[in-house]
Amino acid sequence: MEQLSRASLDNIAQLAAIELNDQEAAYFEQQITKMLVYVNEVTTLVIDKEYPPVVNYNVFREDIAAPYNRQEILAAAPKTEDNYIVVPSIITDK
Amino acid sequence: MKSYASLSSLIDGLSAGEFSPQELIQFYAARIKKYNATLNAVIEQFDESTVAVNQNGSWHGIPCASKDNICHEGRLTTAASNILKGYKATYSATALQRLQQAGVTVLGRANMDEFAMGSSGEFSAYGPTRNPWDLTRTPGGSSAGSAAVVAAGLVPFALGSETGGSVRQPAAFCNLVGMYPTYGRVSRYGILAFSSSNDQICPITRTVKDNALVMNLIAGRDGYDSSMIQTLTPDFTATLTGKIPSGLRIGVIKESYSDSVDPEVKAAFERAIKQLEAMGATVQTIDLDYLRYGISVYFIMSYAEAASNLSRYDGSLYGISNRDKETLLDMYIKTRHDGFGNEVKRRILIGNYVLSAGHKDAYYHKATRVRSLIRHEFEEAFKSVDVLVSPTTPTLPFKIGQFADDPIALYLGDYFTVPNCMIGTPAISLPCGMSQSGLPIGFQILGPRLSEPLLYQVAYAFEQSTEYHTKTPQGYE
Repeated sequence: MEQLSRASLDNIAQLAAIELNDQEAAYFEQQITKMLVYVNEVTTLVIDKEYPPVVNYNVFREDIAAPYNRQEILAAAPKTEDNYIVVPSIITDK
Repeated sequence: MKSYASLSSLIDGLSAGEFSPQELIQFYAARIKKYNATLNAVIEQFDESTVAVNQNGSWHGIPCASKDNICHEGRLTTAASNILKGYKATYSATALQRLQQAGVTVLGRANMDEFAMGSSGEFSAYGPTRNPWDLTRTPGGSSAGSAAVVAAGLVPFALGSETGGSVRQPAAFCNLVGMYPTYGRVSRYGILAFSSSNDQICPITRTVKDNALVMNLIAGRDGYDSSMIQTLTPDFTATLTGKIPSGLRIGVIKESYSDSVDPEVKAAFERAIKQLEAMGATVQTIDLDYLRYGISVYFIMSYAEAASNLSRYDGSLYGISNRDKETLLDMYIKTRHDGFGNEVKRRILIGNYVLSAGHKDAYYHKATRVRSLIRHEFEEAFKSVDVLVSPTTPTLPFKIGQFADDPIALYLGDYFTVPNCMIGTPAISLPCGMSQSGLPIGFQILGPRLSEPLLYQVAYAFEQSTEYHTKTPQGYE
């Protein structure tokens, strides 16, 4: 594992939807590289036996709507209008 | 009223009419007011007269604190993060609701590492919590406030949450008892998710019996969490006989004797083993080949889950929102930049890396395979021993700021607590000594799935044969 490149970091920051300035990017390049070096022991481990993951099973309940308070939930949103949550537009004309 | 009365003695005192519910609640509310400023254990103390409680419950009068990542209807619930600043929960977590139903009064929300990511309490948007045993040291984390508030006797118990040691490690650092139950024993409904395949709400108490009593209230099926165990919940106090089962076979995890374990921790742990032997247990050393990969696998899996779970915090539905620029994407990236602390950002970034195209097989899928190997190895070990034991942490409570620039060194403190979380098996940490400088030391007992009754039994028998749990920090009389 080499130093994480700035381009790779920018790619994962984009996937993570977190803006990073240059100073933050330099900090996280260092930190994340150290972590990836540490976990290399797992990526390089040769596994000669496989065991099944934990067994899951479905659990069902009746699909009944529970009461909720619309105004309380709306009150948590940063911006609302009538009974809608308002967010900035996805597409701009620029 | 005694400052360090056990929860069970308070329940008895209430039913015998030795004091009224109001007297008890006011006594503890006054203690929080008096001592919390130094500790920063409680982020917000509630006015006890405004807290919802079932006055007919058998625990009416019993106060507690609850970690800030456990939803409490109508109250601020922020996971100690700026991104959830101002968010009031619109429903209560099942575990908290069951406490309220029993009559418990939640007196405050406890400080923690942001989104339960950390093991020192230092990664809180509200500043670090201090250890009542030594104010220059951390109480551990991420359930830092939950542990400190119980250790100082400001409440008889608290709810914490654990994903990789976040209850047992602070319990060990604060001379308390912490139990990570079998995954699926306690509903995750209403806990702000970090790593859903590991997260569990857990009791932090001063004694083993108190812990079992709280577990009795919060455990058991809940229609709102479909990952729960569907078997019946036992009475966890039923096995508290004061004796260990005859012929109990104990396996000591080999790394307990490693040079990286602090000599004082090791000495206290070895005394605990001798004590258990004297009580009739047979002891052997168990070598788990894949244990050393536990931390790495935990990093990969829990960060991947965190990357997914925390994607919901984007400025649209709750908390803060940066709308300086005009597009939706700008709002996302700027809100998340402003709202998350560095530790949370680091984990989300790594989580996205290990899940991204080209890396997913090498990291995430590989880690899931190693997780299965660890599970298999534990299952094999539990064929030759009934329980495993180790120090809970390799070190004594460390200084606040000691690992500021070295997160990996900090994470290595979770060596003994991470593996069982990843495979969903229970473990209990309890006091086993004090360092020369007067700092608490804990050890842990691990068992197979659903073995909590056995773990409580062994822990209780050990506790009753020792005095460690009766020691309290000075200055909180």
